[in-house]
Amino acid sequence: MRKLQNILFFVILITSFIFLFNNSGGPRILINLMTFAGIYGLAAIGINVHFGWTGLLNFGHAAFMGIGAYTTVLLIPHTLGREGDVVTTGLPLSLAIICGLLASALLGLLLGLPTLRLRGDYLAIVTIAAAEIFRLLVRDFEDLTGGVYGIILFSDALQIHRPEIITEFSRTNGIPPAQVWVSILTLISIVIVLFILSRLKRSPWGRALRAVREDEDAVRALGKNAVWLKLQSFMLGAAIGGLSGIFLVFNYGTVQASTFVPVLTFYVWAALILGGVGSLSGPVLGAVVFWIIIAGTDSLTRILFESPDGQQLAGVRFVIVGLLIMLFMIFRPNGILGKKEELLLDVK
Amino acid sequence: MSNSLLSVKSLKKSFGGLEAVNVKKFELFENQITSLIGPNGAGKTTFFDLITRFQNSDEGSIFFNNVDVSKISTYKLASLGMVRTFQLTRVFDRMSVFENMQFAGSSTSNEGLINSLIQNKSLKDEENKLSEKIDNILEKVNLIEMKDAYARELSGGQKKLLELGRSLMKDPKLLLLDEPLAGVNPKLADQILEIIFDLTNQDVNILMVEHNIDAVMKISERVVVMAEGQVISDGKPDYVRTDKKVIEAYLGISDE
Repeated sequence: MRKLQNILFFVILITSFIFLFNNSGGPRILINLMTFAGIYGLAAIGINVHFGWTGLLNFGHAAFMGIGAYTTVLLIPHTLGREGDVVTTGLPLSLAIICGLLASALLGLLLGLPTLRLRGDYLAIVTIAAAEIFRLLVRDFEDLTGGVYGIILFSDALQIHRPEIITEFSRTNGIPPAQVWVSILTLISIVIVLFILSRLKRSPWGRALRAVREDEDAVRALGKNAVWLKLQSFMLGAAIGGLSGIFLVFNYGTVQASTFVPVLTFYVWAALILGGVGSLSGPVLGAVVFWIIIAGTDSLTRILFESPDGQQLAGVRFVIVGLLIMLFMIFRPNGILGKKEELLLDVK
Repeated sequence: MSNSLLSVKSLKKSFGGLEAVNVKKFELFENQITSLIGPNGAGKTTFFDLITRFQNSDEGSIFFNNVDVSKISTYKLASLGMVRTFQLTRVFDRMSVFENMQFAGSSTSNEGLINSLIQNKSLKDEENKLSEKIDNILEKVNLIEMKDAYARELSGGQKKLLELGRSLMKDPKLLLLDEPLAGVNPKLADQILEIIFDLTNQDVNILMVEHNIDAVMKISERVVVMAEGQVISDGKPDYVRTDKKVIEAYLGISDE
């Protein structure tokens, strides 16, 4: 019954969104929404494994997304930095992506080893700091990462695999085929990741993570290695974040130091909170809602105000996101899909 | 006397200048219910924390079943057969009673990420076997009707029962109970005592900290009294009851 309600809610949102944008290139905005909602949703799924399942506070998701993306991009043919150094050799894309995911998981291991022995707050602090350190290192090691000038011309490695039918479909609808391809791959990844996670959630492993979330000392008293369980969860969530980061940069077609700023982490958190902490598909739905608000404010403000300029619009959209999160916290703290019984009342 | 199950030598722990625990020698033998009593702040719970490795001792050695566990990781103790409960009950609030029990009983190999993903037949078999065991134990601790309730919906006493039942899933050789009767109504307390007493017939040895002296005297075969971090008396309930040092510790020094 509640599922039905949710779907209905979802449909109304989407249709109202399309209605609002009908006169200004509906399909283009829809595909944009799909792509970003997908990427942020995937990232939010990663944080959900950390926070919703295991109770780990990760405020440095941008770093995990970033290291996955940079590792992948640097391993395939690309053009680098201000001088435009061209690197023509590289690994096959699939191998590079696997390396990217491993790099994210490895960063998770690196950050987790010293901090997961401590209480939750320390992890939050360390992850915030690590994300900033990562961003500054990327900015300053210009020879390796291109710094603020970034890396370009790498997305061909993905786009050559694009089926012809997508190209034709995109042309007839007046939308960029490259973005359509990225968004389709993102959605496929979400389905695969959710399938794997749904299996894990009902498994002894998922149960053990929940036990860790509830009471670590009791877990240890019952003979389970709580630190190792937390590390595994941390690495898995980090790798999922890495995957979303990879899609993010392939969608932009470029990557530079400013791609993975701290605020990215908090957008992803916003999506997670809106969708429902702990639920399986909640984060994706939350990301859709988040992006509908971000993209929908333009037309909304045009209705509300006479002549809004771009700067005002940019401000208003986050006012609305913030307001919505507050309203959710008051009236539906478990998010759209979260279970009330699973609500995190206390964070350790 | 039978085999030595737990053997503690010159165990020390200080917090700042305060010597919380200073136990020169403490030995636990098989097939006994032993109670640890003493005034508040006597170091009983700290002593518990030290032998279960929840806190590091400053010095001293602990042998469990003739294995040196002085420096072992906390979680490894449970697989050796030493399981504890907590003074402030620790159940997994947002998991059902059944899941609480499942988690306690399932093996670490099944909880591996890969095994949990593949979910082969042996994993499923083990989970099924676990359910039977869970039903048995829940029956024993009178929680079978609450099987599907969230643990946080239980009453305080029921949580104590769940924690006890959960510990039994580990098939402990030594069960350390930290105030199993605290905050429990007299009727339920009797029930818990009965369950504890039954356990000794199943080769489970018990060391418990408890303030309910009547219950302690009734059920224990041996009573150890701690005060200011040290063991001041040790023996049969009748002996301890009349020991002058114990009376002094509880009531202050008499002015005879």
